[in-house]
Amino acid sequence: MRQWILILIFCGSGYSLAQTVGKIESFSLFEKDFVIMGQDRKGPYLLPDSLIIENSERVFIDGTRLSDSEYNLNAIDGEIRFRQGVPNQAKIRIIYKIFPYKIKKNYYHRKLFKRVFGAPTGTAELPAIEAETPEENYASRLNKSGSITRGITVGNNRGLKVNSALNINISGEIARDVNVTAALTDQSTPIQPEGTTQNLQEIDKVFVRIKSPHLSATMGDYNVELQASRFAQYNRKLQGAMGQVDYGNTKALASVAVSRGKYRSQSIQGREGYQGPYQLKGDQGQIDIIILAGTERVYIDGEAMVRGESNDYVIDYAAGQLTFTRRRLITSDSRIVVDFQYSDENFRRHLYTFYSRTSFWHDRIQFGSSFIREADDKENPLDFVLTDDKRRILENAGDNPDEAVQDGATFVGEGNGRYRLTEDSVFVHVGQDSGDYNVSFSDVGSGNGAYEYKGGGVYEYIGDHRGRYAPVQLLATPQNQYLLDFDLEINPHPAISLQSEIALSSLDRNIYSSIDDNDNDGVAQHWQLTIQNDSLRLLKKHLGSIDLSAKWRKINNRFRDIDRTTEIEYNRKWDLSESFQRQEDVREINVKYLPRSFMQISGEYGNIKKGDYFASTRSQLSSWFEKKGWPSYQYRIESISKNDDRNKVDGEWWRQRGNTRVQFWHFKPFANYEGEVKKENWSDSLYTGFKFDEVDAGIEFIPGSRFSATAEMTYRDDSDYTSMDQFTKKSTASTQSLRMQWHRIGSFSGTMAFTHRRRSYTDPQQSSVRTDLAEITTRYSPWKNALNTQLNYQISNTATAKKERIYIKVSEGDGNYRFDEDLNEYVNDPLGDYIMRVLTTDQFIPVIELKTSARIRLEPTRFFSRLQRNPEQRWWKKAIKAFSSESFISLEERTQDKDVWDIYLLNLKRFQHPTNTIVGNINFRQDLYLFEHSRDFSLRYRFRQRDEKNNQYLEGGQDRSERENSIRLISRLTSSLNSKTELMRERTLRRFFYAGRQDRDIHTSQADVDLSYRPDQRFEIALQCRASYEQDRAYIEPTTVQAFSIIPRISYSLRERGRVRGNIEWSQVDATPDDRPIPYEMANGRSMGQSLRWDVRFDYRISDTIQATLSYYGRNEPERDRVIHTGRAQVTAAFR
Amino acid sequence: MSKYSYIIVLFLVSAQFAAAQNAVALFHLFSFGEQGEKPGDLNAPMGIDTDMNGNIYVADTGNHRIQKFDQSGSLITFNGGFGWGVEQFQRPMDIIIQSGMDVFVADYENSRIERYDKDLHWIHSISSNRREEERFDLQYPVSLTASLHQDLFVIDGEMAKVLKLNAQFEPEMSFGSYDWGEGALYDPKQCVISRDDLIYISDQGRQSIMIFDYFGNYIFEIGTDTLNKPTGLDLYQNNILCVAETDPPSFFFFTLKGRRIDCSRLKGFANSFFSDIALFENRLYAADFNRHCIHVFELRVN
Repeated sequence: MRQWILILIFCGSGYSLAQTVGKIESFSLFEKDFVIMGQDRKGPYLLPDSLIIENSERVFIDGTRLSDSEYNLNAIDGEIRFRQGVPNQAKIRIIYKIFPYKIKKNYYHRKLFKRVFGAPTGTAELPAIEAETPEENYASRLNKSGSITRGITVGNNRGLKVNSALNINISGEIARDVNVTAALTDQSTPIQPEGTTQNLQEIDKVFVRIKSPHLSATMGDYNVELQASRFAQYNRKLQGAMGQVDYGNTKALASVAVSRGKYRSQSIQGREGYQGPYQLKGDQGQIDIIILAGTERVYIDGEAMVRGESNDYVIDYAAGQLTFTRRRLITSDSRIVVDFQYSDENFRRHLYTFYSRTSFWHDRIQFGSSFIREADDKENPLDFVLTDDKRRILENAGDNPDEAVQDGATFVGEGNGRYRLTEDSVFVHVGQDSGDYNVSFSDVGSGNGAYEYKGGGVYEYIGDHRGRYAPVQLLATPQNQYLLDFDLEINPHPAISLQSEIALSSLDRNIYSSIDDNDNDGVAQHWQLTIQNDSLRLLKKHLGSIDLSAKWRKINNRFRDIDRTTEIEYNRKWDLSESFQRQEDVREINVKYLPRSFMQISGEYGNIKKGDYFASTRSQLSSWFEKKGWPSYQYRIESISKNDDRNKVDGEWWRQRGNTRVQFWHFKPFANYEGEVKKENWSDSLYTGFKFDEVDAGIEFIPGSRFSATAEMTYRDDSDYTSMDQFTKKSTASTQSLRMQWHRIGSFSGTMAFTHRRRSYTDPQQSSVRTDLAEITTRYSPWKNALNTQLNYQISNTATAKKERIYIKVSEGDGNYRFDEDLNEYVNDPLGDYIMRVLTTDQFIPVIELKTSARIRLEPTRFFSRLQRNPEQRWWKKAIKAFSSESFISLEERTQDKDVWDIYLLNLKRFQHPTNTIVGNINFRQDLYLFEHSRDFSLRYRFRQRDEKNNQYLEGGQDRSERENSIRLISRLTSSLNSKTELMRERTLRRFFYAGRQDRDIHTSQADVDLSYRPDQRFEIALQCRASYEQDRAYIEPTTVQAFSIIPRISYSLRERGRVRGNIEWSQVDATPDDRPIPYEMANGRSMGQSLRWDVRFDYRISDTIQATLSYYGRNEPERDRVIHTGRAQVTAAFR
Repeated sequence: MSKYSYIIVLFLVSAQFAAAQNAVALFHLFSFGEQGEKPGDLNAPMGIDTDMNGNIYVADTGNHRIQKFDQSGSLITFNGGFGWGVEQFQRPMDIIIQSGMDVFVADYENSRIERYDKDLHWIHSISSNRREEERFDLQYPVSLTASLHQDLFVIDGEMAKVLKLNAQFEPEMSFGSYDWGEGALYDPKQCVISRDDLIYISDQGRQSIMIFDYFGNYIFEIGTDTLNKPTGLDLYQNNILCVAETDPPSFFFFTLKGRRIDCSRLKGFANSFFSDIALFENRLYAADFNRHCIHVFELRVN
């Protein structure tokens, strides 16, 4: 009744319709009919309205009405959540009533007052809601925070270095309905000791967005995505500024930016038994590219893949390598397509984008226009200096990149170079200052060069067209490309739509050269008529719905796409060759008929012409049926016949695909079929093609929400087309997979997935290929988590790339390595003058990979946690609570071992094999604690072992083994005196399987005592003493090292104002024999003799927002030729 | 002053005290995530944080990955998986976003801090050089927080200490270890830093929240008489400290000076284990380790 009264009161008042993601099917004055597609989740799904009239809603999924218990509607906020996840693309329809007037969520009879906690009584209350006045102080309401840091570092081993850092965050309303969100940071990225790092230029550092109801502006790092038209599809990651207008029926976007990437699409055919890595390459086939993070789109057989170790693929952006996970089986039939943007850093690139769309006549006419321009700044090459010679080469090269090369060899005189030129015009590496040429080699793509990289800057001749490197310097040609696109859509009737689009493109592949410029401009057009009838009727009888569409697309031979404008498997759709030119004339007709909402029949027919040399005709029929409680099916049959006059070949290709599934009780059996027959008859009696049939059957068992299992078996038969209508059997493949999940069965949760595949070939020369992929994750945590166990286990067929460590000289003090001439190796040094980089080559070694780890944590105190505050616990409970332990083991093995089950079943004797293992790691740690979390008395026994084998580096293999036994005791001797004592025995074994490195077998006994006296919380004086006795038994006469260190330290605190502290480390290292270099692993990295290190630091808070730090450290060490003094001063100002 | 005046004053003070005791109310709005390994599913999440747009970042510890959700709980992106290489984790225990651009993850078993951009693309790793000062070792990072000065404070579970890394990610200071007198930490779990540069650390061993200044000086502890097993903590509008308590599951609210304002014991959450919390505007997000989901509450402060 109340609803009717309200309706009467507000009748006649208008209300606005909010923008939503879904589609509003219809609405009356107080009832709305809203449709949104499922997203494979429970929700929440947002409705366009809040304050929905309770119990007025009716909710349907794919036409089936849900009961109240199957969903939960938040009527106030307009959100709906479902008890079960709604499948992707399932149609959710919600009919509900709202008040026909915009009502505030809250009404107040009185002003609210807000308490400020902690403020003195009487002054604590401030009005929470203040009357808005025209002079609102928006600035005071902005959330602002950030800091600016300026510092200097100076030392007698380095020049003056200025450190600076800045970060700013702003968010909030800057004017009525105008919001700003801004973030700016210039935080540095330190040098990675492991030699891997992301390219610094690719890290987002600035983001500013100002948004009002109709206008928005974005500055900094952002993505531009244009999807509305066909030819001007555009997706780029940019740095610059972008403005957007959304006013009534008009939307517009303009962007001015510098490039962060270059678009490329690469097709890769999968390899049997090989999950990756697959190398992504630049447009010239080069592999030294950096993929822009997040720009890749990966597809297998046309299906989009999801990134992540726990999903379909992982990608190494710096190396440009793509690897598929255990969850996505790759076979030689897998068609992989990768669209990505990469940084080649040849030229700075400017991008201009404009897009607008407007509609008239109640949206019956829509008009869109786009302009995109990508232009290299030819005067600013990034990776080479533009000399007159190079400019001349580029001017004469035209559009042919093969002409834009410069000789890479430079004659430097006899005995001054690294290469010698033989009579066969081959460069041979002869070593530093032993040859007469210095040669620069370039990556020209696999099979295009004559040289191979051997590591250490050495290139070796292996024969023409057999390598990927050539003794040339490639010169990049600057490009200029633009696209102008107009599209028009007319809907004279809700069921009829006419779309047309025309695009003009221009691509100059070499701005320096006017040669070949007559083929730069191209044109493309697209026309489409669509008729949709949702309610087909005959004699008042509903016959379902029907969609009809007819398309015509014509593309000029000179038209150049600026991004992907076709389906992922467009070539496969029409049976096109990769080498075909862009020119095409396509006509298509589609019919889709849905007699009822649960079934569909559809057909497609079309043809494509490429000039007068190629034509292909395609037809397809498909149907599906899906109704709750009934068996469901999908089926599609497709035929393509082609006529290729240029290559004198006719072809015919049939494809079929279908699946069916049904549910009874807790079981869901299913079956899939896919088959193809392709015949190509060449004029010279050559026959190419194939045939395959793949049958897949399985069953799902889901007895409840806590357990599910799926078993599946696939059989595939492949044949080659060898003569007229004759097929010869090529291979058979069978795949079995099992997947199980269990959640909280008792205290036990986990998942298990296993896939096994074997492909056998009829050719006896070709051995069968086996693929095993497995993943197990379990967690068992009974007794209130007093016992917590976790297990991860993974196996996969993959490959390991050979790597190379290179050391780059930098200024003294800026590196983290130094070259030790005595040891003839690079050693860690925070004041070093080298940094390390690890380069990944394209030499891949196929391996099986096993990774597993297990952790067992025992904390009895958790079981008795309720009794924690009870002082009258039984003695045995107190005793048990005193103990705790943690065990951890991790294994990694990448091996070429053929006895795979020995690896899968963790037969450790087969691990770390001298020749089969490429990378192997075993880590084990056992900690036993007595009073683990006590500061009065705490004891820990630790056993730790680490074994590592690495044959991955070009320089050669090495083994490393460490075993540690230690006891650590922490005790509070008095209320102001604390101590930590650690006794340790350790063995470090290192073996190098290449020349120039000395093996080690170091046995260490070490005692470390730390005494801290803190008479007052502000003041601490402490002394640490460390003594060790070490022997390197790699020699017949072991190297014996005795080291002793004393480290006094002192600190004084100014509560909430600052702290001053200092420490000195004095070390004495003696060794016998004294003429032998001490390995870096001995004496904690100290050299023989006396070492002195000191460090003083003063931190002070000048005001609430400003902090200052002064520090000074020095080192007087035998390996340095002088005492090193380094000082640093830094001030940080924060604003809030 | 007459005795009636005293009575009136007493009445007013009592009324005010009563109001303060009931000043914070929590309303459960919805929860998202369910146990599993599909994108958007969660498995024993241990860390949560929000950025300035209200997006939610979760350390999905049991699945060894990190995930980013929007305010409604819809998945935006994710990264990671089991392992010790780049873009892999072994028990990521905590996640924070700094400056709206950088995401830091405490990668426990791999003994490192991982830095990602806001779209969860890896930038670099931070681990310690064990040949340097032992007190600056980063062994098993449990939790971390970032200051306005771009310094990172990391709780290291190995020695129950806090390690301060400067803006260049160099270790500068450690505090809270066995030698820190009455400021010694026993079993620290989570930390947060206020805009006044005070560091709040939940310590299950001490059953309290320990507070240190920016230089590691111990200031005071709060909640000794109320907290049992505190875990996650965050600041509401920079003047109220919210603490997640796991035994029994509840939320405590304190002033920054340590006065308890309120305690919300929620019905229907008896089996929950709130491992971490994050606040954005008036919403409180709680990562539930036991129920493998994120609970979203509306926080109303009267």
